[in-house]
Amino acid sequence: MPKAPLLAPPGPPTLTFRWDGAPVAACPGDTVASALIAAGELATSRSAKYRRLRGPACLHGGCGTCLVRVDGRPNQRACLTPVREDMVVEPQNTYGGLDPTALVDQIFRRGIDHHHLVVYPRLANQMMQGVARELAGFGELPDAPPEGAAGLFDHVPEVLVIGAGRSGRALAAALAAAGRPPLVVERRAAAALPAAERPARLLAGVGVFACYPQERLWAAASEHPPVLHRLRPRHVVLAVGAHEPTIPLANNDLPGVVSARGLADMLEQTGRRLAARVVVVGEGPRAELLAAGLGAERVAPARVHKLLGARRVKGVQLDDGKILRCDLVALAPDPAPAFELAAQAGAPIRFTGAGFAPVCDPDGRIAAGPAAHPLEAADAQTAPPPPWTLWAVGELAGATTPAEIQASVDRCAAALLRALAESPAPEDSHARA
Amino acid sequence: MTARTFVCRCEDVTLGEVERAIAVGLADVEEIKRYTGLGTGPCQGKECLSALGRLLVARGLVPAAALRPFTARPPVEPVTFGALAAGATGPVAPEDPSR
Amino acid sequence: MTAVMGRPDTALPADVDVAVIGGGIMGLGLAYHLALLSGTGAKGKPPLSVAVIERSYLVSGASGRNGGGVRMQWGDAGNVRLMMDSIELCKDLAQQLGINLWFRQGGYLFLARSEAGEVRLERNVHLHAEVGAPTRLLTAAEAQTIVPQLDVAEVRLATFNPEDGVVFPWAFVWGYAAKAVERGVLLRTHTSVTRVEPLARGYALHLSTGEVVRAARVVNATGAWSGALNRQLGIDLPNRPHRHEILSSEPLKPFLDPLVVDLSSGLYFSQSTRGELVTGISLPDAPDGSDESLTLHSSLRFLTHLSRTLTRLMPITAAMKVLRQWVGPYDVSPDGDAIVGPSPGHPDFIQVCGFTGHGFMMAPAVGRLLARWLLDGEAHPMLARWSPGRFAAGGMARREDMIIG
Ligand SMILES: Cc1cc2nc3c(=O)[nH]c(=O)nc-3n(C[C@H](O)[C@H](O)[C@H](O)COP(=O)(O)OP(=O)(O)OC[C@H]3O[C@@H](n4cnc5c(N)ncnc54)[C@H](O)[C@@H]3O)c2cc1C
Ligand code: FES
Repeated sequence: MPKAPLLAPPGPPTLTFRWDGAPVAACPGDTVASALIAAGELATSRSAKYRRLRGPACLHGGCGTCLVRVDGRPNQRACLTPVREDMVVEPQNTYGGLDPTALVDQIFRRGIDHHHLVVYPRLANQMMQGVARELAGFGELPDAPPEGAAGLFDHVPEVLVIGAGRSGRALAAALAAAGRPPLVVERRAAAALPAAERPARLLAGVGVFACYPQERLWAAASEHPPVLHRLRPRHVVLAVGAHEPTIPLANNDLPGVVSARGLADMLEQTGRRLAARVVVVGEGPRAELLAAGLGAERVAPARVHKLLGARRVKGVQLDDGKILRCDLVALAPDPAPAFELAAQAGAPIRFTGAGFAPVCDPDGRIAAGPAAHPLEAADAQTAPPPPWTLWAVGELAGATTPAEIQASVDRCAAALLRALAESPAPEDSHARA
Repeated sequence: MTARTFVCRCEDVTLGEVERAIAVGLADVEEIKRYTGLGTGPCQGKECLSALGRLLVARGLVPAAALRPFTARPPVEPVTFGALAAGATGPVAPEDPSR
Repeated sequence: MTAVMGRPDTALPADVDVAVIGGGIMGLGLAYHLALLSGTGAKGKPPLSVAVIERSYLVSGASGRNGGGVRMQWGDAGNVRLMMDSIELCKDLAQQLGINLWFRQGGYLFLARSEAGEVRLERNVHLHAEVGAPTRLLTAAEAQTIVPQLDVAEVRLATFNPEDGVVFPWAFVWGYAAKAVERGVLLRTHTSVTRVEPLARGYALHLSTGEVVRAARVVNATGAWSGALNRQLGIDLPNRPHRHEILSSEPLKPFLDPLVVDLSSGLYFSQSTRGELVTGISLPDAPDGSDESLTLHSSLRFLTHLSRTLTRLMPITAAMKVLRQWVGPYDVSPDGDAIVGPSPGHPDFIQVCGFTGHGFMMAPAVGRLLARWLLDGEAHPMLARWSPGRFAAGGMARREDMIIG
């Protein structure tokens, strides 16, 4: 049965890909997730333990529940994968529409304590372990090893900007205007960035996956083609933004429960328009702004009794019994800064009330300090001081509204340019190793 | 469908499971992570860690100023063994290293 | 129902019979067996009071950072017998501890790519047959029928033992902890022993909380961190900490049954119940540190070195992704044998250290034999061999050449 479309296309769809065996129409700017949501296909997998239907949620590469099989490769993020003609996309961890494993959720109404599930007798325990093993993994082995030789690149940029979101792009533009264009690394494809704002020196489709202070480098990679990048910058600007954490509400995992911010960004990026009823759950100025942008009704999390629906979200039931019918629920939590790379680099980390963030001065400069956890803290203290200066801008530096983000970029750019002025511009180097 | 409130969807960890871990005396983010599995799935904590942090602070179990995240282990973005293999230098195989 | 597995606020008395420092698998396995044997008031003796003091959270040490491999394929008869005992204990340990251990006997597949490796595997098979371990010699083609994705072009010979397997290490530690607590062991977490003070009889342990606990006998079960406590008492032992890196991949549906070891590179990999590939390798020149410099940072060098070896041996892995990498401390003993028993000059300060990269699998057997010795003085052939006094007495001999990593 064809599902009602939830997002209207910006123009006539010109692409077709296959989802679970059936054709789906898409537009050139679409990701797999935007095309699927547009088509009303909200569920992409079943969960590991309770076998509940799940689908794209954060729409931002951060939550890990939109993983699908694409052209024989397991666990690809639907929300970051651009649609290509004839692409074959398959759900994972499901056994068809009438999946018998869905009963798990019904049978274990009071939850599954996997540590103490069917421990006795031994024979039953072994059978349970066999079943658990079959149900656990996510996705099947890839069809084939990647084609083509893997590549290795070494970069020695004066300034490395990680992330080409709003703050990363603005900072890169400010530095470029002053004659010091940075190298910008962005995990999304170049096509996902507004053409007019694409930084001059951009590595797109490449994710910075770690900082290794002891080896004095940052590491990044792309998956297709398989390429590893080693980066040894003098300045690193973390413009990695924030994660959209979940809001603990009953049935907050239903397909169609998405991040309000992720949804707004997706609409902007694809040019699609909402053709669905949306309820925003959140409070505070940011949630109000997002709800207004989406043209949606907003309720505070404390008023929500539970989210309704079985195979996808159908509505929000409030504490007073009232039901708000909808096709999508958009969560607008306080964002949690993406502190991970900063922590690996040895930045002191504090709890902000919403999440964790590196401690930085008003310009965004991060002082190196002990690592986050005492057991692994010795590392940062024994490591020699890093050869780079570390900066944070935008949401990572605590900005939440567009105006705050711009102000944070302006301060950081000015301070960074002052620091750069003290030393002559070195030649950047980029080499295939 | 059973009504469940999730803190970590990757590993199917509900609010109730976190509460049980707290009830048996686990109060450290690192140990709650290990006992419940929270944060050990594909997102590696991007969705759930802050929610756990807020819960521990709201319950008065950890003062906000003392709360620390669990170790942010690499990789924070996916990377394949194929791409990583390109970065290997040095001899292909050491002499039989077993002692 | 979840049982209590130790707390940061467990009340400790001023005096105990046995204080175990370190709540890893060794300390807790021993505490469990002590409680099991003494708690019943066996042989008319009063139950023993046992306290375990752990510096951090449970599973924070090597016991929470290992690969969970369990095997009887060793190169020395003593180790093979010990591991046959341990695997026998593992078979119904989940039922005894009341927790899922996810012990899965998918076997260990050893691959030899060099002549030296080939010689070792052939010797093992003969030795195992004598001792009664069901290890089989395989050709490269036979190895490939067990793991179809292997590229066996360079493999000269392989061995397989179907009794070997993998466990989920954390649950093991929690299981021992919960049962030990249930049987009266006092388990204090998030508290370290900062100073050990010898008394006329026994020792006074000074804790990070300011408390002092006196114990007639003390067990040093702090593994890679044991040197610091030993030095306070002037006990000079040669075990040293050593970083060992490891990683797990994205979880996939079951495709790999055994744990595979490539002898030539020290690469090992297995698939956990959750579906993750768990894999490590010995780095060609990883330096041994002193315990002051023991750091647990991950490296890119490990990732790249491992990935090159793994993708050559199992090409399909080139398209698989890494989920997370971490580091744990090996507690390396110079002759490859553990260091267990009374310390030189300190008969009531007992070591259970030096288990290098294989202490987890030995812990069930070690906990039982050490508890029997502590309670009743019962001898065991491995205890004689593991004596901490052997180094000073010049009795050090390398017997084992199947240590991985
Ligand atoms: C990466 C890796 C992979 C491995 N793979 C395997 C494998 O596949 N199979 C296998 O059998 N073995 C394996 N091992 C080895 C195995 O993990 C260890 O031999 C075993 O866990 C040692 O246990 P333990 O209790 O002695 O040490 P630990 O688990 O390290 O416990 C020592 C405890 O002492 C505590 N402590 C330290 N100082 C103090 C103090 N002053 N006061 C109080 N507490 C203190 C620490 O916090 C720690 O919890 C591996 C090890 C590593 C690191
Ligand atoms: S990672 Fe794609 S929706 Fe969250």
